[in-house]
Amino acid sequence: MKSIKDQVRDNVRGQVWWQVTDQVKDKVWCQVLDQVTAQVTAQVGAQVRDQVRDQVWRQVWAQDGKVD
Amino acid sequence: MIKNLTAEQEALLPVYRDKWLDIGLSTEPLNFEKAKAAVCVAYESAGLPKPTKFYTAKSPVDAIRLIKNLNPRMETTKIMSDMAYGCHDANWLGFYQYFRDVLGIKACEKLDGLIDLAHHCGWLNMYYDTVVFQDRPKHIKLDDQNRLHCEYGPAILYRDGYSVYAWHGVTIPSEWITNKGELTAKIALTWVNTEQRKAACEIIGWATVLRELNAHTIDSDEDPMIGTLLEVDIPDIGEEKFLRVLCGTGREFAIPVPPNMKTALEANAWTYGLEGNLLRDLEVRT
Repeated sequence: MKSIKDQVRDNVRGQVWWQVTDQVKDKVWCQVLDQVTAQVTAQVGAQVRDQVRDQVWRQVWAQDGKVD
Repeated sequence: MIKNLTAEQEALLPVYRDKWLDIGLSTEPLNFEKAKAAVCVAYESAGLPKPTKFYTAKSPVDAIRLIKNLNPRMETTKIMSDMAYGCHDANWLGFYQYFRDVLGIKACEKLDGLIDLAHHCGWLNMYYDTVVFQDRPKHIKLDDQNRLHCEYGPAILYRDGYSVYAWHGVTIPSEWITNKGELTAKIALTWVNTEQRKAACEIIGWATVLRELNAHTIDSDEDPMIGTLLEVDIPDIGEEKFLRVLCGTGREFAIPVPPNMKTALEANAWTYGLEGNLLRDLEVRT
């Protein structure tokens, strides 16, 4: 069974993705991706989200699930 | 089918980029009431009943503790896998908000709840009837290339003290910053992760590290401002070249330079993007 996160976030995102791709040409899609998403992904996604997430995961693995 | 953006629509691309950078890097405290309202809209969009129980945590680790208290049987790895990223989903939420607001694509309205949520909270865990919101970081420090970096404390600090230390985009052990005196060249040079090893050498200072590595001199310029070209064998990395030089304040430091450098003058000029002789000419003129 899908988790609530999958249902609320990932499934809805997937549905919207298909509907947007049906309505815009690849060129427009790529333009928005390049000019809105790329820098936010680099700065927020890769720098902040991933670094925090990776550190918490490392702590979880190192402490066998017990995070202090 | 939308084939092209108009000039007005193109002009809004950087506006949305900057807006979502601000959301993603926000250090505002969690807005509990607005986050609650937004997450209910997100559940409704997914065809799920609204949650009724809401909790707050100050950091991801605090959220793990809280959820384990609520449900001791839940595995930590499951809790981690269940985390959604709220404001740190900025990259893809900004993308769809642009299509929703600027191009009028109605399908994107299904993301209204998540888009709104990103404005008000950090990460979150969503369960059938329960949501655990996390606060956003209290501070996020970046260098001039927008990489996580702080020389004197955590680069990311949450309100409960949970922190991430980073050096020019590379996460490092906290003690390398909090207890710099104990970071030695030996520790740095034998560190397994090569990115962290480079960070450690930069924290100690390459000039100090090179002294301990018995670097051999390839070329020494008579002008100490031009410096000395050195070659060293770094464990697991191999031969690397460095320019050891005095800066204008008389402080010695060392800069990694490309392996094809043959003289100190050539290496020094390379740091300015110049040819060697041109650098000498500039020096004479000044």
